[in-house]
Amino acid sequence: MEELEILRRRLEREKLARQAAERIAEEKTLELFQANQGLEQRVQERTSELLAERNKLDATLRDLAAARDAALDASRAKSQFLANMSHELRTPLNAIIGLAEILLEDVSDLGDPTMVEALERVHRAGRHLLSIISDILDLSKIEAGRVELEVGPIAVADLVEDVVATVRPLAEQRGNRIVVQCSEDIGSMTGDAIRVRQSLMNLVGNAVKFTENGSVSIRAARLRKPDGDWIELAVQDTGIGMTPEQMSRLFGDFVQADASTTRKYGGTGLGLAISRRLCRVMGGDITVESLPDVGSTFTMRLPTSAPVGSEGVAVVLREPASLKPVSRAPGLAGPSSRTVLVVDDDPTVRALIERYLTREGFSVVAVPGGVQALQRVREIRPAAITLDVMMPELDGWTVLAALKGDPELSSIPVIMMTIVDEKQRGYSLGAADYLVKPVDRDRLLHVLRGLCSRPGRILVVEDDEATRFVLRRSLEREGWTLVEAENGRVALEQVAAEPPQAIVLDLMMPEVDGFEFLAGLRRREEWRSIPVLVVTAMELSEADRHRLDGQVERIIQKGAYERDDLLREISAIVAECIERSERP
Amino acid sequence: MKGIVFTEFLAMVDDRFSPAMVERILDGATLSSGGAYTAVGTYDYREILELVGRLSRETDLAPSDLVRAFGEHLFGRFVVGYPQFFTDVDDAFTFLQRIDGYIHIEVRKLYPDAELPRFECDLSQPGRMVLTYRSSRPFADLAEGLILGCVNHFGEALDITREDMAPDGTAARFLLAARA
Repeated sequence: MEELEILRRRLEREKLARQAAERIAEEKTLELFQANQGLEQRVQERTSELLAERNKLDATLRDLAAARDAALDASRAKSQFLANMSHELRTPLNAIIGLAEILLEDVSDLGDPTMVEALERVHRAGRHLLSIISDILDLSKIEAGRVELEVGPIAVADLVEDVVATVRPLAEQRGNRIVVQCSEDIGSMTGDAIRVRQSLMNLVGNAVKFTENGSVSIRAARLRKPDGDWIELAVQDTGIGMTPEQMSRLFGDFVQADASTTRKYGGTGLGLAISRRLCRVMGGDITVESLPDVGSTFTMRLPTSAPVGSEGVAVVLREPASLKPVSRAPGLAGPSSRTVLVVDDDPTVRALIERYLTREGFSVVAVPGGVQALQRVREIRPAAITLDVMMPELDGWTVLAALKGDPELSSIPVIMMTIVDEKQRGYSLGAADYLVKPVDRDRLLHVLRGLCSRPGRILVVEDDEATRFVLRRSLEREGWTLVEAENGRVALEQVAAEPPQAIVLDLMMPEVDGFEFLAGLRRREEWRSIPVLVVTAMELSEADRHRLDGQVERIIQKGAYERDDLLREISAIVAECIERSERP
Repeated sequence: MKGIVFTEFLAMVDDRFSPAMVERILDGATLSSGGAYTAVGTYDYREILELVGRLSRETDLAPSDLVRAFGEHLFGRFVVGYPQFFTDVDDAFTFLQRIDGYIHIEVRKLYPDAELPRFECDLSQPGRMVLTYRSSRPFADLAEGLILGCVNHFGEALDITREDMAPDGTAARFLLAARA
């Protein structure tokens, strides 16, 4: 074959092959173009899918945010509701407890054990309910982030002793031994004494409650750490203990170790939850170790320095002394208008009269003979004296004569009490009254009340009728004259008609409330010095306290006090204020 | 079969024998492509069998020897044309192992309709490889030539033993062992 022919053929094949290659290239280009188009379309589809997804997510986020806001609002509303409810519940409950106490005293005298038992049950149930309501209020305040800490120095050893003293009767009743070990360097800490006490009280109270015929030991130690000193309070018992499963649920709200525990031991199950949260608010914590049937150890650790808020709880630090009284002259301990000197050589009679009178609000000093009587009368300046006639050494007549012969003492009324009916002799020697033994208790009280009536009128401003009733019964028995008003407007009218010596004021009232009443009262120069005692079941905010600061003598929160404490407080402060106002 | 096999075959005939030999084997052959091949095209595999047959008759060389020789030549062209498959590979066993798992996967991305043979590797015995070739086409000889080309490329001293598993050349087992 000729070379030229070979080349021609080869060229022909190359040409065909090139054309085939070009065709293939054309096809591939088209394929690529279509693939590209397809890709673009898919990208667009995916993009719009993603956009739709994002819009959906945005909507979900908005829904979630709205749901969260609604939940927060609901939570706030719930806390507010709980706080209001607690107030609304506490007011009538205080009245129930107060009335039960009054009835109990009256019924005790009748000697009907069934009635006494029933009333004691009413009283106990009321107290229990009150403590539950306080727990719920505490919890709602913690949850609402409205815990306010009153920070001041705390002597740790004293606080421990105080708690132990409170719990000891219950411990002994359950056959438990209490051991306290307080390290020597325990010293003091800065914190809210009431909250620390409440938390420790809860731990010790639980230990005693869940232990029978065993021991409860309280160890207080000071831990020195790089971040400062800590106080560690460990409460160990030999009680029923807990399983790990029970421990894991221990600090939940309304949770006790298990439901049967609640039936057997009572309680709301809120105490521990509250205590732990309070400790955390104060920068510390409570931990627990326990073995079933061996016992439990609860350990509370708190920094000794002033606590700061934690767990998202807003903490308002308040110095305990921020509520300044209007003004108070020092050393007002003058002769007490309610002290009775009881003179009798028979210890049984002395004890009996002392009991009667103490229960009726008198303070009693009892002495066994005339010599001691003449000594003590100068020291205590009693409001009245009950004097037995037949006594060894100095007899009653001689003592009466000595008293009446002394110009300093002659004005003190003396009630002769004797089995000898010699009224005429008694009156002629200057006795205020003459009672024949056995002494009629009611007659003695009637006479003493007449002799020891308080010099002042108290205006009670309170919208709750039952609370007014309890206050009236209690204060009248203390010898006060009462004027009542059911709201601030009526109260201002009463003050205008005749200014009282003191005012006991509720804050939450219809028409004109306590705050407005105070403002009205302090506007008039001549009323400005009338002492006011606030007694309220309301939870006071920092702003409320600020408004009351310098306006009132004292704030007493119902529910936080025993009724007896409350009455003693009212009496003491009112008496003090009246005495002060009577001084030249 | 990919066009590169045909263009490389004719290039080899042109080179090893003569341009006139190319014309002789094409002349009178019944090829639907007319013998005009482009590397990017795809052609009936039977055309290569016919071309090999015609070359055998022209040269008096056995078709299997010709195909094996072409396989060795083709491997050399792969080394030049597709260097990306040879980076990080230092020995024949490693390369042969990568045919099914890597090279053929890449080929399929470019030519989705390509019909590729399978190469199964068994390395259970140290220093030995058993490579099983299976195809729908009878190219065990081509596979052998490619394996030879591979071993030569890496300059290794390996004995290659072939065991046919099918009489038509669609399956064969190759034992590669270090020369004693």
